[in-house]
Amino acid sequence: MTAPPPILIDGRSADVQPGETILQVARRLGIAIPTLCHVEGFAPSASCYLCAVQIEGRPNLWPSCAMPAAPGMVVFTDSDTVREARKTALELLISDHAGDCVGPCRTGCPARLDIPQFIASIAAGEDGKAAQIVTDDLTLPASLGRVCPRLCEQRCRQCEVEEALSIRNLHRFTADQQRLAVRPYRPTRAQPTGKRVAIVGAGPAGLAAAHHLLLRGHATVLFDAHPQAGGMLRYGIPAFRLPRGVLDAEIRWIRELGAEFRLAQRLGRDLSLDTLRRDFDAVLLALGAQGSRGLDCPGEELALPAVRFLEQLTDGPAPEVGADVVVVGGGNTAMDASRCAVRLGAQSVRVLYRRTRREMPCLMEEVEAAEAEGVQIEYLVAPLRLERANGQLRLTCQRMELGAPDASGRARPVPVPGSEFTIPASCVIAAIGQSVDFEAGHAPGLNFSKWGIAVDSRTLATNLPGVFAAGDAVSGPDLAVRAVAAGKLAAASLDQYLSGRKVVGSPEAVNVLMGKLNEHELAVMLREIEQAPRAAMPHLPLEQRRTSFAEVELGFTPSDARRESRRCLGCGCGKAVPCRLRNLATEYGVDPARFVGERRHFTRDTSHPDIIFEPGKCILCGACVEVARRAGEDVGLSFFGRGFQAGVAVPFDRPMAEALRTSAKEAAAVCPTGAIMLKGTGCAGCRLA
Amino acid sequence: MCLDSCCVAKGTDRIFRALQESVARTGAAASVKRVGCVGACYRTPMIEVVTANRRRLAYTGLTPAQAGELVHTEYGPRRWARRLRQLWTRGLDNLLVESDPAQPPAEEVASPRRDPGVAAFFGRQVHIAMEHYGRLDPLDLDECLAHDGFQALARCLGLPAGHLTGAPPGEPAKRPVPSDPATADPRGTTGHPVQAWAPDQIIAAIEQSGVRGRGGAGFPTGQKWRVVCQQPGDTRYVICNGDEGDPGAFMDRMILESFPYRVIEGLAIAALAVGAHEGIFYIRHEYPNALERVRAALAQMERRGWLGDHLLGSDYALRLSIKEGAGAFVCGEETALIASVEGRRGMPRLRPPFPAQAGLWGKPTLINNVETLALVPWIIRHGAAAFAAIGTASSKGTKVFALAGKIRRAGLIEIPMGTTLREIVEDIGGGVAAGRKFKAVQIGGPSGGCVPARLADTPVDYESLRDIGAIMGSGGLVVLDDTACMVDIARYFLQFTQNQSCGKCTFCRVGTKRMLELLERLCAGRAKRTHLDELERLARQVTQGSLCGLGKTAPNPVLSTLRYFRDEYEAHLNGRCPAGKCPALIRYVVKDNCTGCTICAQRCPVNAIPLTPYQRHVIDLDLCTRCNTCREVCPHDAIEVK
Repeated sequence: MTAPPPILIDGRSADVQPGETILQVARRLGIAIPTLCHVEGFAPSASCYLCAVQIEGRPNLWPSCAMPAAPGMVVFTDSDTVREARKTALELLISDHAGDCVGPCRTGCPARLDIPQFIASIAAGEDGKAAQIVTDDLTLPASLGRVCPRLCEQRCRQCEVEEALSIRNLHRFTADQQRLAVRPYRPTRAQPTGKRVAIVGAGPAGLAAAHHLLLRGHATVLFDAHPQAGGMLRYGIPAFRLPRGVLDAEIRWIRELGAEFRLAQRLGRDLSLDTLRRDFDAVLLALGAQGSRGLDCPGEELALPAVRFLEQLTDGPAPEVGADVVVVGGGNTAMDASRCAVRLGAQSVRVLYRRTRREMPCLMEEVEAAEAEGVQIEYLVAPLRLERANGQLRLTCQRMELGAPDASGRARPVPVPGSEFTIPASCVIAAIGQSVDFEAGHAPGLNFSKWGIAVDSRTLATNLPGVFAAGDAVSGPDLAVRAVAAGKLAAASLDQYLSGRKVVGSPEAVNVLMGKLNEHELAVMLREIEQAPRAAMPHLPLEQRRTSFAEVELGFTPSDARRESRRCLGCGCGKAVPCRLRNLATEYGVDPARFVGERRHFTRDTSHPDIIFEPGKCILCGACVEVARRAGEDVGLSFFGRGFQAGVAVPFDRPMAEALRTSAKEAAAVCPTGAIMLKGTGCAGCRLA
Repeated sequence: MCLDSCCVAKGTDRIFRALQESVARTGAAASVKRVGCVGACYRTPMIEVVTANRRRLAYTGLTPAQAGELVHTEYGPRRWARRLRQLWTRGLDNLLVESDPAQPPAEEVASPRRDPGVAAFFGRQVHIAMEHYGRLDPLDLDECLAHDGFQALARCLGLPAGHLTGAPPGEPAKRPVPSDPATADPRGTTGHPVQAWAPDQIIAAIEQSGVRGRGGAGFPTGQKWRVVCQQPGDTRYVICNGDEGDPGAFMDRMILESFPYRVIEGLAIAALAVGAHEGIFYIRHEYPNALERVRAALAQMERRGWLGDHLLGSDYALRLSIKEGAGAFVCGEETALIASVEGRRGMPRLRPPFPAQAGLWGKPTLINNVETLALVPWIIRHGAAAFAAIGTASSKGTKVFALAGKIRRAGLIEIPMGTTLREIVEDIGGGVAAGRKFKAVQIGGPSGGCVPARLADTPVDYESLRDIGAIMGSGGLVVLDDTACMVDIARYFLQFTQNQSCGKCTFCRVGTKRMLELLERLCAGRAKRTHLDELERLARQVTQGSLCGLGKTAPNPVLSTLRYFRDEYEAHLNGRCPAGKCPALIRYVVKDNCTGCTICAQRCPVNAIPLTPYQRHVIDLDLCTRCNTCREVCPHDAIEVK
């Protein structure tokens, strides 16, 4: 008698033992089939359809966790149809997933600082843990804690009730504490790899890249054209916003981590890209966008570029501005320049902006601070020409009005005919914008985009092997926090490149975000916290501000910080990292927004002493139901409802503590998502434990 | 009079009581008898009168008072002949259900077989599951026995046929030993000793008859029986699946209510064939009348000692019980049904293992649909060949359909397999209303598909229907005319399956919901082409990625309408509903021939039509909810949909 034919899975054959499922045979062969609802030792649920496979000669897909393996079967576990179906299944599950994987604030932060976690640590009085999170996630946390425009706070859920949480000031608090600590947190460095990276530009992008490369054991040498490191943080931001001592300490911290600085070295003048590529294992170009754009009118050469003005304030003797200073522009640099001019003793400081206050591309609090210090802002005014007569500058301007929106979506200013007027000025500062002043001639063979150096946005690799680029040099002038984020990403890519791995950058996990909550959902979140207004930042008295470059914002006291941190709703999921739904979604590259429609409401049951139950995250695998049944729970858990409304709940509306008397921890362990999680495992957990 | 659920819904119970009272009061020489379903739902409430000289007359549309009066005036003592003559001359207009002018004269209606409509309705039908329809009292066991009831079972058990008719109710049954020819009842119709059928012989007959499962999937019944029969072990179960749930389908309820003994007999034969000693009727609790009848029928049999240790007085033990379903549609699926019987939530599991291998309590279990079981006694009595002679090459016998929708004659019909859809719609159903166009047939309920009118010559058999994207299904057959929006029809059926999903499989629970939302988007005129593509892609994935038939077939209404009526989907993409059905895409306009009669203004539920007598009415489209009331009430057809 001939032996039964073997089963063929993805072209590999195996004998079938009686009672074996396809999944078991595949695993025996080392073929990975993803599962969500499957629990080893439990009767197969076969509901999630992640383990679906194709079987030759049969229509449709079959759940391999339940399908008995039969001799002669020909099975495909990774065909296009299978992968496509798995991706769709994940996208369907995610479209009905009521929960945030990570806090919306964290997805708003370009550097992906784990905001809920560090804030929870502050709230719990664990400042050391907070410091560790902030320091590991973010380079220059104290500096960014002063200058960052707080993209995170725009997404804060507290906005829907009160004002956003003061996230930036909290990480500034933590970073400042660290800076002054006797034994500050020191991350551990990996074993030296022997690889050396040249980083051109010691601004936020370069420093961040150095930070993360050093942690991975690579040696870094930072080159910078300026005599001091820090880039635009030093040369573009006045000391009253970012005291030099703070920046110096943070750069020193990176130096102590092992970074080598070679300053006053300009690419194209003192260095060449070719030499660097020859002498180092890899090169990162993080030169920033140091060039200034002119007024774009006759006589523009008579105006002082704001970047030059701020640079002189830092490096050299303070420039003479005279009594009447006119600043042209409406961004943060215009505000900084005008506030510096006030401090230099100008009698009148005027800012001219061609649109209105609503369109200003800067933080409103900067505008308010400038106005408080006496700066006058004139809206809907544009320069026509600049002349010098009798040692005085004369700026001729015209009035504007707003027209149709332009490509950026902002209303286009249109001149009002016959509205010219002339104003005298001792100094005109042009704060129109910056540009990448790095030319192709300095780096032969390097490709450029419309904004700067051309890179693969996933990895930041340029067209030259071993050469990466990050920060403003790639994107054009942008936020410091984006430069820091880019430096961090570049470090990840460089590390992959240096260790000979495939360069993929740092692919992000898929994040489910609930978006705007309805009032019931919001109430669930608010239930956990005390309602309080946003903590105010103490300021230097106004009379002192106008005459000195001392820091204006004084920082939170520990009690301010503690109080503010307790306002955090702790958005995000305590099981985001082990969540199998999220991990598979990431692996299969799902689009969380493919299906948009009705979804379950976010609810949270914290009544059980050990676990948190969030039914909106349940995928109805039934594993917890089975755990309770096996544990002999009297009440246990049960499915309820039909169709889209089906779910898992405690029968007869009994409390969860009655349902899972002995098996709660096991239920949390088998739950593939964050529907059942142990208290104290995540951000929400810290607060609720 | 038929007192089945649907007739009772039309008031036959009250008419029945009025007749009884009237007969008692007047002392008329008549008896009032409850009978099973006739199938002509479009004529209910109907009274059929059989006169002493076996003339048959029928009255429809009577109120209880009129019915009572009828007995008094027409069938009262000694006067009925005179009254009947009066009746003929006077006409019965006020007593007839059909009020349209094309109404045939009273005397023709009064004789049901001569009415051309009735003749056409019944002309093509062949009654096997519904044998003796409309004649027998469903619960009268003796009448049942007198009309071949339990003869098939008796034959399988080796009991002589005459043995049954002799047993008076309430008396303990004799204990024949059927396998011993010496003691066989000499009064058997054949007059010869009879031999019990071996299980294999029964199964062979069922196999040779070619009968296939009438629950919808059409699996060969004999093959199913054989698989169960061949399983090892002593304990096995038979289950009658009475969890009929398709919207608009009520064949099984009718069979259970009108022919409970026939289904019991079928189940008993099945039990005998597979060696089961326990059988369960799984009937949904929304069928209280069916439950009551089956319960009463089982009680009658028990009273005669025909259930339990001595099936029909034989030595074969068979216990039959009833399990009420809690109303979940998915419990019609075998594995979910088993879970429900076992006391668990009705959720399907993967097959294999099939219930035939490991079913109720892990034992081999045969599950057959009500209609399938109702066919079994006929097959045994008339022989497999007689059954196989009816139908097509692959689909034998008859199928009962619930014929409904935009059709003149709706009802329950039993037709030979191979009858074309057009014959059903036009001959039996009498076609759609005058002025309307026959557009499509929705066959197979929420798992089925829409067959366009141009394919109406498709014969009703499993393969032909499958090939055109529909299914035989359990027997729902809805006729659609040109007022039906096919996107809306697809949405309706998908909404049903989405609501009835057990929620287990991702694709069925969430996928059908997203499909439904895409259809709603289409109906609301908010869909783009990408949405249509997504709908089609998702439909195929839901079919691929579901465990049970509910999920696997849920996209069928969408796929079949996409296949035959894609132009309507396209029109919805362009913000147009060709059938004028989808409220978001239509508006009501008053035409020139409006006389200003104000009826529409008075009836509009949202006051969207100002009360302007003798002026052409105007509809405020911002207020209008597109409820269609104005168009329905307008006596001049002056309101049209654009």
